[in-house]
Amino acid sequence: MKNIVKSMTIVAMITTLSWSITAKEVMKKVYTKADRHKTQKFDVKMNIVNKAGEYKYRFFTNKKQIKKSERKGLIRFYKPTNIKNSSLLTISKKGNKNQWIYLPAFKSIKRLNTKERSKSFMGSDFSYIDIAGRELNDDKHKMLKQDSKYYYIQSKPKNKKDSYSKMELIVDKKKFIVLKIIFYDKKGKQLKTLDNKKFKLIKGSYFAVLSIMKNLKYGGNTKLEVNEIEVGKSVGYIGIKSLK
Amino acid sequence: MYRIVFAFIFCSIVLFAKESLSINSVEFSDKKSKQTSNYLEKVFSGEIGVSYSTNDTSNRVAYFGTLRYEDLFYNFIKAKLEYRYTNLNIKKELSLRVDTPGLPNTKTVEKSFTTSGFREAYLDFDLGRYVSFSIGRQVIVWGQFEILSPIDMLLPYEYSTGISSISKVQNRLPQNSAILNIFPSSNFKIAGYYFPKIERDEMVQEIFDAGEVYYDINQKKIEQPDKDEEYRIAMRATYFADNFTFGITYYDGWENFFTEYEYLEPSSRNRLHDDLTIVDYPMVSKVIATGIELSVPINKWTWKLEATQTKSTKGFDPVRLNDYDIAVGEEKDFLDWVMKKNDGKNFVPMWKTWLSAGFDYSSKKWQTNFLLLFVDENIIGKENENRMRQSWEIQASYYNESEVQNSWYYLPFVHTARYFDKDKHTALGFGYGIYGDGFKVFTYFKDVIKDDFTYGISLEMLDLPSDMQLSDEYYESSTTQGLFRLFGLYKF
Repeated sequence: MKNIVKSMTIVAMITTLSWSITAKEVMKKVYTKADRHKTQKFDVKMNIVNKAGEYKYRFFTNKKQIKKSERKGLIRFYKPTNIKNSSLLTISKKGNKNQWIYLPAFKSIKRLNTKERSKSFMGSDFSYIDIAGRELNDDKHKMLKQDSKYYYIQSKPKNKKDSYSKMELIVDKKKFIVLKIIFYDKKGKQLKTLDNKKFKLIKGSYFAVLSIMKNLKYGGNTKLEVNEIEVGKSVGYIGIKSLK
Repeated sequence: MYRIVFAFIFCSIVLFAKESLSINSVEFSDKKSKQTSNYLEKVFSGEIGVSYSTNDTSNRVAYFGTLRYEDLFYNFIKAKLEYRYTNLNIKKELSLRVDTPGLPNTKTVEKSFTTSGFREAYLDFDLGRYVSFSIGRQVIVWGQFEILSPIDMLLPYEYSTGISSISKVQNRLPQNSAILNIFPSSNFKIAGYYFPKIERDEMVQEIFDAGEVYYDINQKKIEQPDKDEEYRIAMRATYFADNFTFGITYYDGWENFFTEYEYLEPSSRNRLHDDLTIVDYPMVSKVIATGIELSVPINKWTWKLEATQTKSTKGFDPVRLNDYDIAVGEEKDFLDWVMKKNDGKNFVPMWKTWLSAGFDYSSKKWQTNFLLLFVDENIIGKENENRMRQSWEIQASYYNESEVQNSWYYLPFVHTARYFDKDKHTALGFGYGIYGDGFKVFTYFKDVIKDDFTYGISLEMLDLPSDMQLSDEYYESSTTQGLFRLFGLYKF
C-alpha cells in the first residue's frame, strides 16, 4: 500500500512539475528557438492548389534579420516571370507590424494598411500577416492540454483588429517547434490549418521545410517547400530601399 | 446503449466535422539539402513580343525583344542591365497637302525604325541604413497615378518602339541619372535626382533636329538649350503612412516637349500690318515645377490627388495666341510691347497648373482607373497679365466675341477591365485618354497562357503624333486613325 501511495505521489509530482510550465513559457521557447539564428535566408517554392485541383507555382527567396528590438523580412519572387521581382517587406518593431509591397510593373512602393494585410498573399492561402509571422506578445497563450509528446496551446490575439479570433497550436515537447496551427475566423469558425510536415535540422535549429496551409472555407491549399536554407550569413540591409 | 452513443458520435462527426487538433506524421531530417534553385532563373529574365496593327490605309508591325539581368553583389551592390531591340515597320498612305499639278492625291510610304541598346544599365549602392545611391541609365517614374501623373509628364516618354501600354512605367524613356536616396525612417524617403542631359525618344529627337524630317513649313529647327545648360535636378520626398501616401516634388529643368510658338517677324507679307508677319517658332521651355501627390486606400478604392505647377524661367513661353488672330487683331499692340521687352521675341514667362483627381478600384472581377486632368495656364507677372487681358478684350470686341476664351481645359482618362478568372489573366477592357503612343479610345481582350504567354486583340481609335515624321514637303500623314491590333508577348 505504501508503495502504491509513493508511486502515486511521484506520478502526481511529475505531472504537477510538467504542468508547471505555462503556455506562455512554451511559446517563449518556441520563439526563442526560431530566432536563434539572427540572419536566415530561404529559397521557397509555393504551390497553390485551388478547389478544382488546378495549381500554380511561385518561387521566392525569403531573407530574415532578427534583432532585439526589430524583426525584418524581405520576400522577393523570381518565378514565374510575370511576378518576377515583386517583393514584400515586413518590419516588426515592438509588436507593431508594417508591410510594404513593391510591384515592378508600376515601379511603385505601397504600404499595406491593416485591412490589406489580411488579404491573400499572391493568390495563396496565406495572408500577408501570416507571412509576417507572429510574436510572443501578439497573443495571450493558454495551455489546453498536453500529452507525452505535445503541448496543445490556444493563442488569442490581443489586438481586436487581428484577422483571427484565436489559434490552436500543437507544439513538440522536445524540440519546441510548432507542428500544427488551426486558425479561427472572427466568428470563431475554423478558417485554415497549417501543418508543418517536414523539418530540417540546420546548425542546431529545426526549420519547417514542408508546410501546408489548408483553406477550410474555400477549399484548396498552399504548399510551401523550402529548398535551400542559409543561416548566420549576412543578408545585407533590409528596408524600404531593398524592395526595388 | 452503445448504439445510442455510437449514433450520437457519428452524428456529431457528420454535423460538426472539424479539423481536429492532432497530428498524423511529422518528418525530421538533418541531411544537407540539395541546391535546387537555379541561379540563372533568378538573375535573367526577358520577353519577346510582336504587335500587328492595321486599317484601310496603313499597317504597322512591331517586333521587340528584351533581355534583363539583375544581380546583387556583396549584399549591397545591385546591378541591372536591360537590353532591348525594337523594330517598327510602317506602311502608310499619305495625302497631298495642297492640290499640286503633276502630283497624285495619295502616295504610299514604307518606313522602318529600329532601336537597340541598353535600355537600363545602372548600379545601386546600398550605403547602410539611411542612404542608397544609384547611377546609370534607369527608368524613373513619379506620382501616384498608374496611367498618368502630372509631375511625371516632366520626364520623357518613349514613342518609337511601337509598344503601347496602359501603365505609365512601360511608356517611360529611361534616362541617365544619379539618384541619392535618404531614408530618415522606414516610412519616409527623400530622393535627389541629377540628370546630366535632356533625353528624348529617337523619333521625337528626329523631329527636334528637323533637318531632314519635314516638320514645319519653314524648315526651322527647334530651339534647344546649350549643352552646358541641359542638366536637370529634382528632389522628391515621400511619406508612407498607414492609411495614405503623401509626396512632394521639386523639379528644375527643361520641359519634355517642345511647343510650336508663333513669332512675329518684320516683313511686308503680313496681311494687315506691313511691318510684321507670323513665323512658326518651336522651342523648349525651362521650368521650375513643384508638385504634391496623395493616395488614400479605402477598401477596394484608392483615391488619388495630384497637383503640379510649372513656371517657365528660361526659353520663355509665348503669349497664348489664337494663331493668325493675333496678327490681324488688335493684339498687335500687346505683341509689340512684349517683343520690345524680350529682344524682339514674342515670348513671356508663363505658369501652368496641372491638377488630377481620381481613383483606382480593384475587386476580384473589376479593375478601374479613372482620373480627371485639369490644366490651366497663364502668363507670369501682373503687368503682363493685365496687358494680356486688355488685349484679349480688345480682340474679343474686334470679333464681337462676348467672352474672353478660357485659359484652362480638362481631359478625362479612364480604363476599366472585367476579369474572368481569379488570377486576372483573362480580361475584356476599355480605355480613353493618352496612353503611351497617343491619345486614344480603345477596347481590348487579353488572355494569359501559363503565366508566361500573353496574347490579345484590340480596336483603337487613336492619334499617333509619331506619324508626323512620315510627312514630307508635299504629302502629310494623318495622325488620327482607327486600328485593329493583335499582340502577343512571351515572357521568360
